[in-house]
Amino acid sequence: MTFLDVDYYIITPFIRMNFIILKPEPYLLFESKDAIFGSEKTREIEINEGKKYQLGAVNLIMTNPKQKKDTLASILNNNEIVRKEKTLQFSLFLIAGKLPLHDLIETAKTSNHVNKPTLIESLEYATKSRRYNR
Amino acid sequence: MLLNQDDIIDSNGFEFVIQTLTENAPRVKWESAMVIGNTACLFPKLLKKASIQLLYNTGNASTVDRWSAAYALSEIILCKTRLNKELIPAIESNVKREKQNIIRKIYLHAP
Repeated sequence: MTFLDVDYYIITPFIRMNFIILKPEPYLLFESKDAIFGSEKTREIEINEGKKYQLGAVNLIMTNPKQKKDTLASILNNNEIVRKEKTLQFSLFLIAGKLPLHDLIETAKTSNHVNKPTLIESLEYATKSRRYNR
Repeated sequence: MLLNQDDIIDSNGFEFVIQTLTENAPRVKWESAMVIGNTACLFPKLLKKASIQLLYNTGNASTVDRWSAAYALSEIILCKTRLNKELIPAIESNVKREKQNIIRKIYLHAP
């Protein structure tokens, strides 16, 4: 066994382990601005991975600490993401505690007739999942 | 039922959806009624306020509005609060008045 072989056997598992630990979340695949606003390349992703792309876009915005305070409103007004995906993702964030109820209510109060139902529907999805009355 | 720390909705949220029951947009109305139906047992003190508006919505022309209001009212009845004394007679008259079978079935789901 040469020095290089030893090096390979010692270092490779370490690199692999690191790779597993540091494996990016799915949303990081769509980190570029193009993923949100659309380009030929991301259109291809959208066609191939449809749902994953949409969720990735919302996830990316919501989990980015550098985003402005009006993040929720910016997602709501983003026409690249379909309504159902917004609803689903917001409800998941509500359940996970990533999206405070207060923020949702305050945004809903100032939202238009298109966005307001989306927010209330996401609350409906989230509360339904708990089955409080059963 | 006691409110847990990890509950999604609080009394402010519940009051907000009671207010939105009066909105003109049909989707806002029916989603709000569904939220009330899902969480009714958590807020027994606010049920009277909610049921007044829900009973008003049962007179709407839209089937979905009436359906969602019926769902919320039947869930409120299932909470078995003191409100049932006033609510059950009102719902019985609604059942007689209602022409859609699907909505009548929802009312009858509550004992």
